[in-house]
Amino acid sequence: MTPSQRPAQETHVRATRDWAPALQGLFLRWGILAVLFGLIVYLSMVQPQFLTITNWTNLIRDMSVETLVALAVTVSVVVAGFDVSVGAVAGMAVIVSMMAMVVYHASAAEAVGLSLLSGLVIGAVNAFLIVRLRLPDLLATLGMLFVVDGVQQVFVAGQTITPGMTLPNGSSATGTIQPSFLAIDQGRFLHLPISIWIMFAVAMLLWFFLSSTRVGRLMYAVGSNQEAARLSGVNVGAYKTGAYLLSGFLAALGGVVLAARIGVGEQLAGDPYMLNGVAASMIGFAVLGSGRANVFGTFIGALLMAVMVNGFTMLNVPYYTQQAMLGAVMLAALALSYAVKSRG
Amino acid sequence: MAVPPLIALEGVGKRFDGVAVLRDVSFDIRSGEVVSLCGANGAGKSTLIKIMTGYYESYQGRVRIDGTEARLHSPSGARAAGIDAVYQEVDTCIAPDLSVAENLILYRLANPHYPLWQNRRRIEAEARAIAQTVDLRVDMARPARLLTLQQKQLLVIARALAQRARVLIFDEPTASLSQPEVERLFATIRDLRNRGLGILYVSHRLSELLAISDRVLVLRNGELVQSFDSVPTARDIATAMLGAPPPDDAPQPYAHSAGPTVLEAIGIEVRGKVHGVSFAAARGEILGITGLVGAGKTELLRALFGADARTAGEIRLHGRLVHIQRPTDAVKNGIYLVPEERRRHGLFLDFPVYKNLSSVFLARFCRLGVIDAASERRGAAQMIERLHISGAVEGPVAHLSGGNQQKVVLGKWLFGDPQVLLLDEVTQGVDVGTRQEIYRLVREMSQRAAVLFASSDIDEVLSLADRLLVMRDGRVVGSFARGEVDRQTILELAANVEREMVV
Repeated sequence: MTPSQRPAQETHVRATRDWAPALQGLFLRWGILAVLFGLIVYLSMVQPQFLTITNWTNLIRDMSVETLVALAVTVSVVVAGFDVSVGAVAGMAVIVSMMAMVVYHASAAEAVGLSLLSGLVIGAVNAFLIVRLRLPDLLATLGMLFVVDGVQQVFVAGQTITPGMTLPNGSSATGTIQPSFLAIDQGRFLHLPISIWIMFAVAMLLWFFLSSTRVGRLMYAVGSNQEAARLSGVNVGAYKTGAYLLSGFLAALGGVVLAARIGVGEQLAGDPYMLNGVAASMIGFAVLGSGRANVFGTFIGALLMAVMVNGFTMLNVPYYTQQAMLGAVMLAALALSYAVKSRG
Repeated sequence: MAVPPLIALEGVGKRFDGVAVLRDVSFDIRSGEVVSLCGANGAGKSTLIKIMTGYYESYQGRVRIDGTEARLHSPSGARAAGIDAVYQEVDTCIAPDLSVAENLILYRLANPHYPLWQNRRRIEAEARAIAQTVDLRVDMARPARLLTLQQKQLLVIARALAQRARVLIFDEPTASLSQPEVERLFATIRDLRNRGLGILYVSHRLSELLAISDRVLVLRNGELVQSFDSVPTARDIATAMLGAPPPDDAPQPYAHSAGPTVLEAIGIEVRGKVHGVSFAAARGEILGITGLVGAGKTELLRALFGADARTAGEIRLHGRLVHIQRPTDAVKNGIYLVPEERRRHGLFLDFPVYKNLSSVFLARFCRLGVIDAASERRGAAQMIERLHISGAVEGPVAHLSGGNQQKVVLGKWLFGDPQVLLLDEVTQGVDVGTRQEIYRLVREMSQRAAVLFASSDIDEVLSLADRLLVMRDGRVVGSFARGEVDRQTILELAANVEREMVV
């Protein structure tokens, strides 16, 4: 042993330790927001069209479906569940709304109502599988993903639902897609697309619900420690059921906005939104170092992904590389949020 | 020159974010010695154990083994130096689905030089030889999770011995053991001592410390405040731990008058666990329930609370039959449970203290379902003050010491209107000072509600309870008023399997 070297090493270690945790804490707290801010500044500098009202209106409108689906995932994660059927539910809502109008002459309001109802029904089945039959959340909703996708394919029998399409009995569909339905995404209110208003209103309401109401707090409690919640007299099953109903409802709402955007009943249209929704929700864990699913974080996660896709497209980054980049960002965010967790 | 001690700590300390949680601790343990370490919650015992077992990458000071400095910067480094530990939560060091044999040679399996191809028979032979060192007689092929707690402890000890451990740390090893099991563990520890190991024994139970140790060290606020070279009295230790003489060794004998009967349990049955238990409890009295670990105390309380299904029996509250199928029903009727495993069953560990406190009676702090944040904070602050909850009360409850966490679990029920309080091992892992506070609180609560106080610590029940029930194998085998019975009788009653007593 060399006694003369030991103390020096010790001091060095200690000096590093004093500022490192503080810096680390700052990084964990502000990391995602800093990345988002840096990305926006960078894109504004290299692309003059990036920071324009038109582009941002489009960008936020584009992210509205992702955000609604991501909020659906978030609600399920709050109760320590995991709803991966959200994309399928959104796709179901597209098919239901379009079929209602084109085949059954439904009004726009009826089409929306039926779509949301289909989301609630799927949420109820998820809840039944998880709460009653005690299937693990991921497996139950994964199974439902397949079932719901399959049902969509049965409904449309391989076709795309448009006015005048040929029905299985040989006749033509006589209904039309209501303009007031398409207005959900294409119409404007106070200069902004209605879908943006819907997204913000839902996000605000959900944020208030989860963070400031009794039921929201108890959902977090169920997610934090289910057994402790039960032994505190909380009806755990009811809260989980509520969370999956809400998840189904929000995913279906995302599907309605999507249907209004694409204007046809294409099968499996919602599927790509599941992974993005999960990613946004997970990135949200790391925002402001919360370490748990939360509405604001999910919104920031969705925004980060939308800014990336928008910016990459402007910069002519090939679309086929974008997914890999999104994946890398999500992993970095996850690394951050788990670092937050291990710090306690 | 004299033989250097087996292990010597010199000025060992640890800081977190600039705050010293352990300062300048120096002591040594010689071969063939049992040294006990005690201190209140938060005194630095866990930190010291973690340093010695290589949990931290860095620490201050040095540790010498046989006079040579050991580098305890990783668990494997500590094991290589000959230090190993048996923790209270022994399950954390066992791979539950691997066999006993595989667990016994786990460290060797983890060694990169161990042959890739595993021969089950050879592993079991090797493991059997290891098991014999501590007289662990179980089927080597069983999954380790099926072992009893004591067998798991023996497994961990044997594994440490197989690694040529020379210093063994026991951290609250008796917290969930019954009295006969404690005796058996002590026999093992004495045997290890006679083989020349150095033992560091850490426990809150002073009577056990006194029974097993050769010397006693006391930590307070991160410093080694006293080192008794011979075995001191319990009172001396408590004084050193608290920095002042303890208020009183036992709660004051209490001149109580039992009020009206609140709870009647009639023929409570839980399949395989509780068999036809009947009793009544009144307001103004503490009904102690004691017995060995596994006697059915926890199961009885959980059944009364609706946490586990009753197969038969009825519960009357103020003379009226109540239907309690789920905890929700119990809470509505004012029957509250403080569960045995507070971290797993009592707390939302990632929630801050105030959210834990408000969690059960959240409606009290709500208007139209919306939480009134100011009123919630105010209510929590009052409870924190009332129960003297100390520590980082702004942060997650996970960061509080065991005693303070227990106060939080108690506190969340005190916002309600308790009729019956079911307290299950509420002083387990709680230091002497906090224990006294909890006793006082329990006494105070008994003015408002019928209190059932279940504990396998017979002395505690004897000193606190106005009446007590002794349980064995899911049955009540004795019922006594205060002063009617002594420790020995209870112990015989609780352990005896031959002599059936009908009450």
